[in-house]
Amino acid sequence: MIDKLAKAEDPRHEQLVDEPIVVAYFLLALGYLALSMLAGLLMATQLVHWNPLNGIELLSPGRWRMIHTNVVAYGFLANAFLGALHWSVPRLVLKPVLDRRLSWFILVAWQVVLLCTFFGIVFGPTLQANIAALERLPFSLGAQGIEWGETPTWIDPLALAGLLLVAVNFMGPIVRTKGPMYVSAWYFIAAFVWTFLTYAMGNFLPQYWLAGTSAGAVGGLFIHDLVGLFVTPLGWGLVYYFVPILLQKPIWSHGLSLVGFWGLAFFYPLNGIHHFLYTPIPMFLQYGAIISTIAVEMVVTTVIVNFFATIWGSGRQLITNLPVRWFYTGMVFYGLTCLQCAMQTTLTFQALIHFTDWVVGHAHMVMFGVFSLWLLGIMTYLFPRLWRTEWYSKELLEYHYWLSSVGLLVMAADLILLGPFQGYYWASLQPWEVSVDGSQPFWMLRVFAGLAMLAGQLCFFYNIYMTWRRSRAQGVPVSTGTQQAPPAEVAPQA
Amino acid sequence: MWKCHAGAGSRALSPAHWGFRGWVVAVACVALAGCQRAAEPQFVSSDLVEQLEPELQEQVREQLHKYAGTPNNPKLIGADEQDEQMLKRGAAVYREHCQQCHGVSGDGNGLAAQYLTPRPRDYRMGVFKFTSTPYGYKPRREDLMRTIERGVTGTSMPSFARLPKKDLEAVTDYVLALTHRGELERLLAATADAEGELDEEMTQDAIDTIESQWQQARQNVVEPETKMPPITPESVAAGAALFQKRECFKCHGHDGRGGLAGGIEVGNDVWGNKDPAADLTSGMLHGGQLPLDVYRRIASGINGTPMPAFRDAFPDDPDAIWQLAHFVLSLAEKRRLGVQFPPGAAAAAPEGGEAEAESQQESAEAKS
Amino acid sequence: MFESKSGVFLIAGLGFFAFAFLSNALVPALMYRDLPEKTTAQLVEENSNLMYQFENLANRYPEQFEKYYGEVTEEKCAEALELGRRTYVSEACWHCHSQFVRPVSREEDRWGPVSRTEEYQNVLQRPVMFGTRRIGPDLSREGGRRGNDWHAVHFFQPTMVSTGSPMPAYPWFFDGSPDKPNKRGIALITYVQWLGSWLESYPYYEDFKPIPLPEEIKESIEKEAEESQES
Repeated sequence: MIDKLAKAEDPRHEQLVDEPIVVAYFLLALGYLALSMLAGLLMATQLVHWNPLNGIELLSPGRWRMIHTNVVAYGFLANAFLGALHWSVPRLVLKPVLDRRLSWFILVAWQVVLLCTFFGIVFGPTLQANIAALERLPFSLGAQGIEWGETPTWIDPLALAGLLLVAVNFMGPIVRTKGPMYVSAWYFIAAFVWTFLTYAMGNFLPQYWLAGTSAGAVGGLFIHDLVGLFVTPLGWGLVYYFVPILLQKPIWSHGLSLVGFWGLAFFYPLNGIHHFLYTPIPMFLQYGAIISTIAVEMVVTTVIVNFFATIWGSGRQLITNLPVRWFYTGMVFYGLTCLQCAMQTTLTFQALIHFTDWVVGHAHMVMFGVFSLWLLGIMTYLFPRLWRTEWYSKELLEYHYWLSSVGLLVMAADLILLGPFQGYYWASLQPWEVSVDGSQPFWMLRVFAGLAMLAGQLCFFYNIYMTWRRSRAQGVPVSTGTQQAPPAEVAPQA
Repeated sequence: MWKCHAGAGSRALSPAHWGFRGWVVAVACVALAGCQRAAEPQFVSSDLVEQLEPELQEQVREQLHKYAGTPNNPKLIGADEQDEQMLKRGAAVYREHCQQCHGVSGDGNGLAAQYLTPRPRDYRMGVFKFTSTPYGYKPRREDLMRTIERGVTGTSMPSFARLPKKDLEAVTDYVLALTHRGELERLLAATADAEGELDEEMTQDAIDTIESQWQQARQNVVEPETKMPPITPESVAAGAALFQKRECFKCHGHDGRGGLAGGIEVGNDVWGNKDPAADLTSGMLHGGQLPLDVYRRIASGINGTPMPAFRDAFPDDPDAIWQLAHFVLSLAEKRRLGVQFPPGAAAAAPEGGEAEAESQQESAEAKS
Repeated sequence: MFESKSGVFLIAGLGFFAFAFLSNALVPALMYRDLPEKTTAQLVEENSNLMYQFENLANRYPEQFEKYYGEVTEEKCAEALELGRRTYVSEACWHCHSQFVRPVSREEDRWGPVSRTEEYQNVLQRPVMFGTRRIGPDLSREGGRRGNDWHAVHFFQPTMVSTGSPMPAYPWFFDGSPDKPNKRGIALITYVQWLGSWLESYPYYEDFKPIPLPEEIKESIEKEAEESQES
């Protein structure tokens, strides 16, 4: 494959990649990341009684808690993924996306979806309570009662249409390639299909057709598929794409990547019900979910082994090559979360930690510690290439890395440790307040860990701004993916 | 700390430093203020004391302070030996769980009290509703603890059964301490008002009075005269007939829906609040829903309220109170089994007797 | 097959997803297809405890109730219940309170009977409110544990009745003071009082003991219940 990419007659970067859209997606993604972190901060301060804005309807920590998760999933991760895909898919299959205008349409449409989500969750209930015409609507303008799918019901169809367009736009170039494909492309194809199906299943079935326990089963599938079939395959695809490029060497084992992909495809969708162990969902389904979760751990191990085997011998790069370090750190956290998964999915463990902050810690470690770190690594790698200039400050980049990763480590460790405490408080049948009071020191530490992570991002934002200013001063050319004549010196990198 | 910072500020070298130092001082002030311990809580005097001459007020407060202590160093009046640790622990539990409604002094006047109906109990009169003692008697310690542990179903008094046993014991002691303090306050205020002076002897008399009242209660537990007969359709029907015959409907309504839903006014309780009779259909009997609980409510009445004692109302029929209890229990179970009751006063009085408060019982105030 | 577009698209993308969907989502749905899904009207009609609380709200807050709901009727109660649930969802109550008593950790002692499937088979559990985290206590047996006025004060300012509670204040459920709940306030209190009110152990307290009525009497009451629900 790498041989093939090196051929002289292949299209050049300028004919493939629409750089402004990559930049636009990345900047939007970072904006949403900041919004999401502020929302998280609001909820975190509320828990330790430090919220000065308590009692203001539009700043209700409950509503902003939903902003926190939804914006990070659909605002930060989705936008950052789309940006990275607009770079990597055309370069991988050597064809531009289906239609450049469609790309920009999708970008705008997706931001509309996000703004509607934000508007619906924050303003919806208020408007509906105060305007008689809206009050009579048969549906809620506010959040939907599905975890990670709080996107109000009235936006769901639009969001789904957006996902369909994304799939079409990227599948266009992919289907036109011939022969066996590189592992990243498998993940991308599957992710487009799965994300669409998952979103449809999770948002419509429990809302319109199923009630009660069976809706719970679907809800579990949705939560897990969102991580397993939307975020994970895109994340892994990008790892498989970027890591060999960063290290300038091929991945260690093609066979392992095959096992990884097909194992994920088969076992991951079967996991969902492990979110609702001990519920009235039939026990054999709960057992099935537990077994396939443990199977997923084996699958994940293949990917982790493949990554570490690839990086073997290039240890020096962890110090010198910041994007590699981001990936490496994310992969370490990935190993940890998956180890956690295998433990926490057992009935024994669930009895103790379900409904506790263990799960919250786990979620932060997955969403920020793994996928966000990878995406931030990709951004660290791509911004200088997009703007054809060096980073304004290497030091700020280091601050960004250390504040993010250490902040996350502290937050996740803190919450994961808190989980068993809460579980034992509850099981001891002491008054409820005991568990809340006992959580206070942990929750306080979490506020500061969150502030550290936020500070890291601020360093990054400032660095990006200054880098952009420098690049503008230099007046470098921009690739839109439609140029005809390739400049002589720039060769495709992968 | 404060002084040090102020000094640093006044020695400022330049206006620019002033600004910076000013901020440091301001932040330090806020931080220090934030760290300051809240002022020590104090008991509030009742209106009875407030009406006295200023020097008498002072004397009453002095005596109260001597015998009942302060919220942080409480004393239990009448106790042979003070278990200080236990009382302090009780005070801490009280601060955490009770004070919001019952107030620092146990006057039922906490922050939330004004919004609650029925209002949180004011202990200071020493009158408690759900007791195992006859009407007009003090409660036993067990009664208070039972209420704390189980809560008062259907009201804002939740159950505290999850508190450790020792905390329950401690907070019961503290509630007793607040109660005795309130009782002493009342007696001293009355004595001071009547005599125009107050001395140690009078206080001792008052304390003796209180002690003997509580002692008396301990020796007068209401036990049913007969063992409970089995609950049968007949006993329930007999109870229903007695409900009519003894005119329970005058307060509780013909359908048992009570004063609030039935729109029946029966006057105030001794604490001065409107006190509609209970809705027996709510399925949430305030004093507990065991047969013995209901028996005691009927037999001894409910202190401080217009609900009279029926202990001596049926000299020829020892099972009558049990039958009434059976009727009440079956009525209380109806909603749980799905019986819908028409809302409001609509169903009251099928026989035309416009229900009105009748002072068939002595004024509750007089008796307490 | 393993590296081809069609293999990835058809087998991994569609096939495996469909397999998981059939086995994990459709199977429970089919298993419970015979459990009827109750409408809000049905829930209100067969739940007299709920009507008691709704009427109690009308008696406690007559002016506010009159203004926002008017009469105490089953329809109004159903309306309040639905608005209450909508508010419960859109204010994210369910992110900090679960509705699901597990058969472990002695939760039965704390909350009451373990949750059963039938309890969730109604339109107010669409989507189901199992919950995801317990910052505050489980609410599935909360109905009747506390009075309506306690809830009103608690929503207005939780620390007023629960020292140290990290729950946010919700003054927008009121017209300025805790004794003036507005439409959403009354609705949400109704919804909370509904939770668990269908159980025989309602209202669940830690030492709940059923009233020892013989079967005979229970049957006659149940007959009466049917008649009262029909009328």
